[in-house]
Amino acid sequence: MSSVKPEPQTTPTRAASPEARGAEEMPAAIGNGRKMNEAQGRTNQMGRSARLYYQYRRFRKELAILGAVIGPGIIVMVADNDAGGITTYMVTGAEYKFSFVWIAILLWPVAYICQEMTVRLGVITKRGHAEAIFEAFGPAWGWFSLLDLTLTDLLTIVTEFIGMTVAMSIFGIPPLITVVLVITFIMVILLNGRYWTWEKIVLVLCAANMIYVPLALVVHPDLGQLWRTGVIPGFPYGLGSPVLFLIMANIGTTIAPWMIFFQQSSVVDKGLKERHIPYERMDTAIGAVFTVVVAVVLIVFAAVFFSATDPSLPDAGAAARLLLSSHPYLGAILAIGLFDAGLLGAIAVSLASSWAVGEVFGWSHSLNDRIGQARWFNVFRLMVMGVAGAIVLIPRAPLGEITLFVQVIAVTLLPAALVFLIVLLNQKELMGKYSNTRFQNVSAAIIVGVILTLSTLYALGIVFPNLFGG
Amino acid sequence: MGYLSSAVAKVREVNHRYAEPKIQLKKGTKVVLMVLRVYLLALVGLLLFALVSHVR
Repeated sequence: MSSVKPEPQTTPTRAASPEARGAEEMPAAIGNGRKMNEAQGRTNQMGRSARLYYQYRRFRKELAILGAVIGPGIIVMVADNDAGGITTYMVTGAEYKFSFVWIAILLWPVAYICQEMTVRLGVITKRGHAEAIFEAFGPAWGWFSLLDLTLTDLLTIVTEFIGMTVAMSIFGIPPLITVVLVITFIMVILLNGRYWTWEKIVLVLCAANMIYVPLALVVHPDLGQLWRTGVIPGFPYGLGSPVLFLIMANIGTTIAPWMIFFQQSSVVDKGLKERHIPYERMDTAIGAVFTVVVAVVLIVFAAVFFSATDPSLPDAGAAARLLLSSHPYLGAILAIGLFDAGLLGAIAVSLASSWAVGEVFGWSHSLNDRIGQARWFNVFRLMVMGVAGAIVLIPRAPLGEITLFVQVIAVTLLPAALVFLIVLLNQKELMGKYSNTRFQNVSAAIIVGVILTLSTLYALGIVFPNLFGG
Repeated sequence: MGYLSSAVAKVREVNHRYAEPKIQLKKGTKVVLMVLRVYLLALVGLLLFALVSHVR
């Protein structure tokens, strides 16, 4: 287990009290008003400069600590814009134009509130989420959570492989080769046996996820219309089952059970301490901004490009193929981004369940362990990815539908994970001053309530198809 | 067979290790949590049904 790089000393030494140092020059000017004023001016100036210098030094040190801590939050949030996420945003934009942009924006605080709780829990308990649940609630609830997580993770990894194989098939690479290469890459980046190396590689993949951002500039959306129909909340298409389904898929692609498990284990494996909590919060907030930016960009892009011509876009791969014929560069960007998103998702989601299972079974499960040392942890991870890859290779599987449904299943199961998280964060004896505030509890409860309501409405729509007029 | 029995033994070991939960839930809370979980699983079942119907 590694620890965070030594924290630079933030206590100022020489520049501790610039006014006091300036004041030492004062006696020479006593008794002479003009000189005194000059000295006073000089003192003030020196004081100001010293203060500025001190603030600059302090800012640099804060940045250095942030640079060392940053990672788990950005990775979990950007990996959240996985292959399933990209498909969800594209389908949403193509079908409902700008109408869901406000939902994507609203998901920033939602994602932050949920993930910030895992940061505090991980840092204070020094336990991954699975282990924390087993310890706090006993084995029965623990197994339930672990089973939920493993199943939803497996399904999510299937969607990652769907995205990657579809993206690579655009460049003529067969799915089998893609699956084998991806699994090999994911295992090879662990060979070094250092959390830091792994994190840096994954952060580069996160940066590549921003490849989508220029797309919004290329399509020149009508900003007035975007504001009126996208940013101002409303339901111009009603609240029928298809709309509810896509709202849930959008929520499901932004917050999912694997994220809770991933970030908590990641924070523990990285060795973050109590003093790093503010920085890790910032890391999470920055990551959430990236998530929302990519979501909005893709919804806007699909709305401008496909809503008029291909509103029933099945998935992001189909969008890339359509674009390749008319705009080859845009098609290629979309395909590369889709592959990157799938790869990031596969890395993060497979780790979330492997960490969880490793914690519970007491296997060596740190990224700082060499592959052979953490044998069962890696075997489990390989197995999960192998099964997911094999499912994707089944011919004629309805990949687009599976992708969207997995997002909805993930969000449907989320309240169970969130409830445990909230209960744990309210244990004063466990969390001390880091227990949830009333505001955090109310916010989290609202999130659980909204998800439960949406799931129920959607379920009612399945059972009674004409209930919402659709 | 040997693998299965060692897996069962491992599960027993985990159950034993976490047999004493740190947080004692009230009976009412346990019931609510169980109802929530069953309800969510039922919803997931319904979703799978919808997926299968949609694909067919």
